[in-house]
Amino acid sequence: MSSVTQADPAKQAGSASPLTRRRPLGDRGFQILALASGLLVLVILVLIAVSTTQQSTDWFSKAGVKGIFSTDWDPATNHFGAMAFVYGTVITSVIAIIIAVPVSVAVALLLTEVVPRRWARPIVYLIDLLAVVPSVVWGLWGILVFAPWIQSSVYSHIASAVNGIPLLGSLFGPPVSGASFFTAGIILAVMITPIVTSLSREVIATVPVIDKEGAYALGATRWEMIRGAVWPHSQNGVVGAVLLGLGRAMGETIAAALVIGSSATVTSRLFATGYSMPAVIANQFPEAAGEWRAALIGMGVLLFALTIIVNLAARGIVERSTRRMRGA
Amino acid sequence: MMAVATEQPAADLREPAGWRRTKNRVATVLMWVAFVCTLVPLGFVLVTVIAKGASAISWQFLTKGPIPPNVLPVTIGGMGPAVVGTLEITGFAALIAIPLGVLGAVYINEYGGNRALARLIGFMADVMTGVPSIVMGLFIFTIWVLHFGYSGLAGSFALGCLMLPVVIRSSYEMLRLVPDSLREASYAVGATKARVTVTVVLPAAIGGIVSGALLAIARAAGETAPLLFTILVVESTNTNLFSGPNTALATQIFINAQQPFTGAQQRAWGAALTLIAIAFILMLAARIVTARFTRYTR
Amino acid sequence: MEQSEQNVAAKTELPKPTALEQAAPQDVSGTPGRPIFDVRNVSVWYSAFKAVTDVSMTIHENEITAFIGSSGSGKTTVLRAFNRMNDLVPGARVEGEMHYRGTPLYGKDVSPIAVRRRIGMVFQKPNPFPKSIYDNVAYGPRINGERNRRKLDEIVERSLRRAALWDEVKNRLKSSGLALSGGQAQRLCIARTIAVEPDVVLMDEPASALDPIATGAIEDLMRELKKQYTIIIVTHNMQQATRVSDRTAFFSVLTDSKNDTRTGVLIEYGSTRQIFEDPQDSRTQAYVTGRMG
Repeated sequence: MSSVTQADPAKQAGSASPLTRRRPLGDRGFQILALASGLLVLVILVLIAVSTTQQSTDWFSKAGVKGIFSTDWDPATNHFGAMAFVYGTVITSVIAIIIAVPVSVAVALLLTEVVPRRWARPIVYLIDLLAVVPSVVWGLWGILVFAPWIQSSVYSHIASAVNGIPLLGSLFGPPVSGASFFTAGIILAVMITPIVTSLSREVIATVPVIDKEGAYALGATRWEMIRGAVWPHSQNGVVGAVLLGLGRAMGETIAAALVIGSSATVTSRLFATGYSMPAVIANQFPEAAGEWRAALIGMGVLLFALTIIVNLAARGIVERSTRRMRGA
Repeated sequence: MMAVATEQPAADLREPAGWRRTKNRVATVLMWVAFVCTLVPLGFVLVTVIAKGASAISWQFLTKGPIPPNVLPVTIGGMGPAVVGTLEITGFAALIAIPLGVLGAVYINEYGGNRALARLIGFMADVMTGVPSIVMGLFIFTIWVLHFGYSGLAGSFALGCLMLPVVIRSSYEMLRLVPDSLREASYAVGATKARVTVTVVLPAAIGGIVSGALLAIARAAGETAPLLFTILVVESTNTNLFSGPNTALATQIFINAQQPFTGAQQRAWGAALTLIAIAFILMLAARIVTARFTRYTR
Repeated sequence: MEQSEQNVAAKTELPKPTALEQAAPQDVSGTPGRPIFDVRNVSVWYSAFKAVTDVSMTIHENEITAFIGSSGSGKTTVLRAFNRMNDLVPGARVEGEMHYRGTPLYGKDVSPIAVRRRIGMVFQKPNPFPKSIYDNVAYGPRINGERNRRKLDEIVERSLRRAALWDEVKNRLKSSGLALSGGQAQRLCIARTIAVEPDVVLMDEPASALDPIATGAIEDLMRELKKQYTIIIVTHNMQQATRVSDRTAFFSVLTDSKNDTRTGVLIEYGSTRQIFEDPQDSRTQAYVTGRMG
């Protein structure tokens, strides 16, 4: 942050000089305007927390902690247990991270260490195109094209192959559906790749050139140099990038809503249909009223809290570890 | 003639042990494979959207309404209302979010210095970029729609809240790059801080600020979730932003994608192609602005 | 002036040594004074810019050779040509012949990685890895395949002792290499470099970022190290050159006002005593006396 150490010349002159008066109104006004705009951020965040919590007290108070985390979600009988959705959110996000992180870090390394400078920019543009495709289009393609294909070409084969095997069977066995946890995980992975890649790239690019030269000077191959000089420096930053990707994946609504299958079940079978918090809110909100609506808004509160925590943790981790490695 | 000492063997400077070279090669190959993996879905999506959407696109599709629930052929009715809605709602959101965002960045960079408040605001702006879009939608629902009803305006507020932290962050990065010497030169002729900022700093950073804003708009135009709770999707054009429910391309795609009818799905593809085209054009514009008009880059 | 001892022995075709014989360059008995590098008409280009023009010299084994000269005279460029670090710069090109113990450094079959293992480098600003002291020194041996824990311990201790750092860090080998003072960090980098048992150690202004006491320690170290390694050092500090080096090469900038180009050239090369007490070229004289009042 640039701090203009120059004292305000208008103020400096003080009351002694007849040439200056108090700070002109326009100057002061502008500063207040800028400050107000900045404060808007804080105000909005607080308002979000307050107003959504307020609207969901119906649910929080009636259901209680046990009720909130029960797996029974049945609006018809006024049961609003959110466990199935929390589960779905977590599972799909984890799948997304497992798929996206190795790929994103690999691409980030590719861009900073392998590809000559000239080609890096067009490649970055291509990756950014992934981010420009709107979420709803990913969902549209996902449900109408990708899901049917992957169900018949991939899931069914895997499921019949592992059916019965202890661990694999319970993860990848039947029932099988194109719209499922796993498919949602894949689509989410594709969507968070640009942000994890770009953040990782920023982190990796800060490794001092002199460290890399030091490794090369010892006769290291490029891969050995990356492991020895680049990775230790960027470890923590990459963890931060991963957490930020996780936050994005958890909050991603529309693509997930379209391909997750919309059935509130808790199961270990990843190829089965499921549900997630953002998805159920998007799908059921228009018809919801009363406690039902309060429950949906309440899940929005949970989502808000979760993503804030993950974001704060991401920055905290990066902060603390970079300080440690400096040898302080 | 070379001074070769004959008692020593010539230095063997050939390749290092095979396994080291192999590891290096494998690592490089894996990195390229990863890159290809990211492009594959992109390619598929683009190809599919263009292939399936192209047949639905026509001038009528883009301008006429209303939007029928399911009717074939696709040429009956069109996405006109949604196009208008998207332009209106996103446009207004940009109108509120961009000036406020730039001003916020101005505060953090020009006035905030090292003060705790400035750092807090900057930090919270970053945190705010991670707030899920659906939460923004719920927020505007609770705070506005419940009192004033559904309208395009509510949708604009929701999108604006999404854009605000993004614009703050990108504008801040641009302002930071403007060298202090420019500011000092301006102060030296007796300008006030406001004048310095408006007449010198902002113009210097304008290229980057504009391109960041364009990208934020592109992102907002594609958002669906916040609109679901704020505009109450309808089928006909509503040019009045301030009252009455509205519609947008993104929400239309969402609804039509869930229909089992081919007519609806066709329209969804057409709308998707339109939306992607808009987003791409904005992104392209952003790149051009960056290339031609940014004076200071990292 | 000083020309390499022209060993007019015919260039014999030596049988390619087996892998075992190649194991450690230490096997080659160091003979002080024997030529180790033969540089002929070397020019270095960075894309279209000719950084260094037509350098010819011979570096001798177990000696300290100093490169001195003003900024931009190409001394660091030439230094980095010895271990092919210029390869890392896109657009860099080396013309001419550079031979190391009879083998052309830029030959077709030559691997830069193998070159750099034999010819190590210490940089101006100490650059320990963000790892523990132990892992810093062990990095080189590890990438060359050494996995045996006891052998590694041995190598680490030996290298740290040779770099005169062992006593100060032996109780905290696991602490971060970044936590060391400037002088210690530089000695760590030296230990790291010699842990792979190189033949030659190149030093690019190794003490310029250090305080006088740390500098003295490094210079003492260099005198010790030259018994086992050949050292080439680039330095801005002429007193340092007189204190540690056996031979000195003076580089300078040649400007061509017609084409508005500049390039670095080797002006004079000889024993240190001769360069400083009896420089033959007027430019050398101007440089060494200008600083040494």
